[in-house]
Amino acid sequence: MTGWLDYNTWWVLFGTSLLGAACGAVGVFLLLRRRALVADVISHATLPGIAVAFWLLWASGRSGKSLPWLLLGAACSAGLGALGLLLLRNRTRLREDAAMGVVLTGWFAIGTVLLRWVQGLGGDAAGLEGFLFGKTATLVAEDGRWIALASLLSVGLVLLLKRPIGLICFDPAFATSLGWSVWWLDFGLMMAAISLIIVGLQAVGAILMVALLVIPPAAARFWTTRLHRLLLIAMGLGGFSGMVGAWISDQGDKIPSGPAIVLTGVAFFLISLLFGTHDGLARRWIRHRALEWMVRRDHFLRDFYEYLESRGQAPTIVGHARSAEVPGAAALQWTRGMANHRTLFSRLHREGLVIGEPHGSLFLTAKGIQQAIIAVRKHRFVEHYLHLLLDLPTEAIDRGADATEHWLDETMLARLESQLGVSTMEVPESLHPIVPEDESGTPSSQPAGKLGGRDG
Amino acid sequence: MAVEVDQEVSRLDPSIPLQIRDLTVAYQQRPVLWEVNLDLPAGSLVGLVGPNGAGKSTLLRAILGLVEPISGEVRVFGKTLAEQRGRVAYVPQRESVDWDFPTSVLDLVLMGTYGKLGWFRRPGATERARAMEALRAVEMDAYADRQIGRLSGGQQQRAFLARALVQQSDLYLMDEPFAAVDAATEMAIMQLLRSLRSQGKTVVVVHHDLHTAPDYFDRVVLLNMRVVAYGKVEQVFQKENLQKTYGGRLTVLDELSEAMRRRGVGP
Repeated sequence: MTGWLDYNTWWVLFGTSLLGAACGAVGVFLLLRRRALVADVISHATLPGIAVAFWLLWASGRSGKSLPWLLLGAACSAGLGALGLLLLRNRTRLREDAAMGVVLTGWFAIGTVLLRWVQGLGGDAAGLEGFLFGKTATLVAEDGRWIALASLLSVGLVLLLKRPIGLICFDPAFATSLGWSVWWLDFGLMMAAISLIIVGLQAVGAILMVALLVIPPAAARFWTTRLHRLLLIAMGLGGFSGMVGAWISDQGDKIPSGPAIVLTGVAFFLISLLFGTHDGLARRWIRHRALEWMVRRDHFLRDFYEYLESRGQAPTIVGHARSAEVPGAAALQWTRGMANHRTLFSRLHREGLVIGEPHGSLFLTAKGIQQAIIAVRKHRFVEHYLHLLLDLPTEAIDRGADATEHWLDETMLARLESQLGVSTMEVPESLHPIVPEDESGTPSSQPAGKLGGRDG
Repeated sequence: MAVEVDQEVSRLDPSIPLQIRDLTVAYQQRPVLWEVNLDLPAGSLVGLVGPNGAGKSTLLRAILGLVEPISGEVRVFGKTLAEQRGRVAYVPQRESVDWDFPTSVLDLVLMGTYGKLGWFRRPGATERARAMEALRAVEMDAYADRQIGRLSGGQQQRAFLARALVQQSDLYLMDEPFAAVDAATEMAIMQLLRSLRSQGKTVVVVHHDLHTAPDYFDRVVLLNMRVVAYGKVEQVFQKENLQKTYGGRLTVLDELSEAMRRRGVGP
């Protein structure tokens, strides 16, 4: 751990960012194939192999630091772990999650016992701790090059087989019907994952390795619904996490590189969760608020329209720039006891739907009339539909229409129009009486069906 | 023997889209289909009808090699399936896939071109044009760019059918294409199937609704762990056959399966 542009550091950072990017791409498919936890089992299952390989090296009088042999041991014991998982799943009644729990913990326990034991042997065994949590400080340029090579091969394999592997994730039965071997494609995907896990052991560690395969793809899902973009985003996030995490760990000896890399990834995940443009929480909240407003606005405009209608002044688009006047006190009734009716009125003003004062006289603008007619039409179409086709009694339908009408889109509206046999822009009659309200704004009488019916 | 020679001849008949001989299928040694023998002629709409658990989907899956039969043979236009993959299109049950998968309707339909393209070649302009044409045929071209998870059930089924159309096959195997779709989609699908038939294609459809089956299909296979009856719909759709299919439970076969399950054979 010396300078910023140190030759070794440069290679290690290069290696870990490639590793992160490759894990991002392979992880996308692991997640889509629901194999993410299998990768976790495999990475935990590498530990006994590392310990045994170290012991064999020590016993034959060689240096325990010989990385290729250690990684070969890791690969062998990972393979045994995967085989054990397959046998438990296919030959017993155990379900996959139980089988994974058994193999993961079993192999990991054996691994930690063996590691503790070989550390007692002395020699270079102290460095073995790095395989648990990752230690980039022990990495040299040579390791960085190996990581880079394995990453390139793995990512190359899955990107080359992007379509077939994608198909077995989505619809394996269809893939088989094309004569494609789901088994071989799965095998290719798992091989890519295992190679990444093996070369990533030193940098990230057996315990956290799966995070690099899971977190970037999971974060990417908040941004897009297309496979190629998912791959690009996951590779970008993974690569960046690998680089930043390894660099942070390289700056201070106290932080193991595994947690540093994973925490960087988690930070990206949180950002994606909050601000992801496809399904982030912020976007959900905004969309929810917009829908809420739409419902409130439509209810208000409908009340306005029906108030005028009950006085024989139903506004039409033709011939009316703006509608008849409504005393503000009556309009206040239509805010349905909303505490912040001021914001309702000011927003209706801002959107150019009404003019006037809530405490004086209120008018619908031309735009307001148009919107009101749309809202009324939607409501009454649904009412008529429920009444005529579902044969529901008129008292029951107002509420049902309230709950559903806002989600009518253009095509559904057109279908309703043709089924009910009404022409475009015609406002059908209400099925229940619209009760005239007196000038003070209090309803003279209220039919039971309308009371509190507009909370949708 | 004369009979065997006769079968040998019909086995290699390249004009018959689908021939099944002595097909028996078991899931982990529990037989679910016994001794199926069928010949489906070209240009026909064939309904596979039977109660739940009758083995309808299993029969399709066995034809496609998705489950390995314990015995029997399947011939597609006189050859094994492996030699004729390009002439068979499969429409799995809609619920069998994850509709949250990150892909668009157009990309889903393009999967129908994968069989001819192989693992490595990517779909080009020709394939895209064909996929759009198939989407128009199912009236889904307006939804080409939409994420598949945002489609309604009926639209998802139409997209699945478009994928099968793009395969330009001669034999179509469809697993419950009418399950949980709206009436409009059901009509549209039926129209499509009839136009396939008029082009000389053979369509096999797993179907649940006994009321519509006589209208929809020329031929019907009544299935309940074995073929109860097979033939022209007006001949097969009779009270006695239907009772045999739906009414009397196959108590001995059921008990046999149950006994095997108790002894720990199978899942």
